[in-house]
Amino acid sequence: MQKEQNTSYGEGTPLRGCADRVALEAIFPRVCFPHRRQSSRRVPQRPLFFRHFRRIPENQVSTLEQLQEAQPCLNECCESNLDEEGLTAPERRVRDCATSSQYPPLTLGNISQSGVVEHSPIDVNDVDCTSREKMDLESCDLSYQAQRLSHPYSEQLSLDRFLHQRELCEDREDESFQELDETQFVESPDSVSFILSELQGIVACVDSKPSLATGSCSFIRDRLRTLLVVSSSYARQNQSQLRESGSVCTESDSCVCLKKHWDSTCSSFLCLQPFSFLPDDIVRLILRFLEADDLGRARRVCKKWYEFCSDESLWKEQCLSRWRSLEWDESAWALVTGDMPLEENYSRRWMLLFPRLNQMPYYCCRLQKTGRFICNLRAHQFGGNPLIPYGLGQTLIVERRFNISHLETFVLPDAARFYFEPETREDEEGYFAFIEYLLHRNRAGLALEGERRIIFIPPCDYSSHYLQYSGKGLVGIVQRSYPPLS
Amino acid sequence: MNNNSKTVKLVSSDNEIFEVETSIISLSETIKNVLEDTEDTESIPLPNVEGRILAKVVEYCRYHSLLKTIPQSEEDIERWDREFLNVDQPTLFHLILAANYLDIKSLLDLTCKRVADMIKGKKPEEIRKEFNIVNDFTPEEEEEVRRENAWCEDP
Repeated sequence: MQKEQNTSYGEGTPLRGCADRVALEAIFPRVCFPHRRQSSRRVPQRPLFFRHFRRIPENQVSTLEQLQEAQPCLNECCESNLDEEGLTAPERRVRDCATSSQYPPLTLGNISQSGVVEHSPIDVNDVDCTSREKMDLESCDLSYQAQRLSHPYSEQLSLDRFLHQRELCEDREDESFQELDETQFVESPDSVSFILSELQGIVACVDSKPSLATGSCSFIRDRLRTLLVVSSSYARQNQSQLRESGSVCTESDSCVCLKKHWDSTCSSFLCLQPFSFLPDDIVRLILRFLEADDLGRARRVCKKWYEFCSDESLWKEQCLSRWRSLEWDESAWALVTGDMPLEENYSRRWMLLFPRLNQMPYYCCRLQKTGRFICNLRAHQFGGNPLIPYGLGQTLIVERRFNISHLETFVLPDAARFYFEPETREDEEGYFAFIEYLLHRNRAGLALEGERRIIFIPPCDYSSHYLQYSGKGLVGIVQRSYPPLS
Repeated sequence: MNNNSKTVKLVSSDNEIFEVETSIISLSETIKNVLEDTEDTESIPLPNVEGRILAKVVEYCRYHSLLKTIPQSEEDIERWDREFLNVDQPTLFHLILAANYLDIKSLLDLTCKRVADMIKGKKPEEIRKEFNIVNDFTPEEEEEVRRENAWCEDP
């Protein structure tokens, strides 16, 4: 549990450069800016503040306990070593905030580089530069800092925050990293430390105002919600920045990229080529959520994706989501494929079918028989003139019927030809009952829509002969003309 | 939460211990099976899941098992899930692996859908950049595949 680790907490976001390093170094030479090499090589000797979010080795405990007495905010960095107190981390934080007023204010001179308490006259409140440092913080992000000001230990916390930032910079020893973001210096609201200090602020606020301590906690809920908005919007913004600024790496500079951006969040090389770490089943599952267009493009990404995206089951799903009766109506296939030789490509037939299907317009409509709902239909146009400009009406009402034998003389050669299928499984009953109704009487159904005539044709010689459809489904014609009435 | 409800300790790969109500974590089929098979299990080691990922998974299970007693609108659930996935790419992929390992179907679907959304509307070149995928096609092969899929134009 307590082994020294190099990963620190609260670094969920890319690190920021320091805007005013030189000026601050002049004023806090030892505490803020110990010599780089020294600080990174001799980890246990680093100033305690620099380990604020690190685990502390056991041999440090005694020194730390001394320090805690002098400075409550250090308690947090010793959390993992203080279990014998029997307090959970949140309890300890509550206690710290509640009792912090007993402690003297933080003095920079209290803590030397070696981690030993010393006495020194420099008080953070007396040092001019803190205002400068605060200005940096504030100008970067007024909204967070404005909230800070009401906090009893605002100065102390901003300093902590600043030192924490400093530590993150020190760790990198990477000049290019600092060039990344010289202009900003904000602790990320998407960090554990930010949220924890805000929560402490809430506790302290309630503690200091007895009138708030009883009754509804609605105001705390409000505060938390606001806090979450700030934090999560930052996380979002941050991700898009990552994407733009070079989360993308070529193979050669991928290591640099990892160090720059994902050091903190990535414990493996998973972030380098995330997909190569996923089991094939999961990649397939992900691809299953894609629409056909994206699936087609994904085939071109690499050989592995080509293989996955060529999976017939994916394309079958895509085809059926457009035209579900292709599953059971073999005869409907010919309406889509036309002269395309499917036999020789039988194993890839769904994938080859899709582009054809993609070009065929279809419309959804309600089928009624003079006042009575029959079913919802999906109408696929497989030939004839396109229906311009408005497609097919939403409700088609079959008002008349006429003898199938009249079809031959009546249907125009360029009439739009349709295949009708039940929209969902629930619509199948009404659909087949309607076909049965027409077949029984040897009739075609007729719906009127303005000047249009929509003719529903059950399976018969006409449909197999002239429409090249010999299945059990419903086909039809849409044209502008009057049929003979029976 | 009922203080008397039974808990189990989950131990992450980095030895963080998460004590969770069994009623919550039973959303994971893997853990549910372990609990059913062995009575009085106190702790379950999860060597494939890091602490920071396990923390997220536990919160996911907590929220979604809360829905059984405190129903929420679809919209609210969607918003929660969206915020839940407001994470960086490595975390998202770690979550997928964890959901798969712990066999939490809804979380696996959610995370995979999120990755699919990241693929949607992108050109092949952009997809490669996004996920750092190496193009292992020869130019001739790539042209061939492009012809096969000529019907779907680049966005």
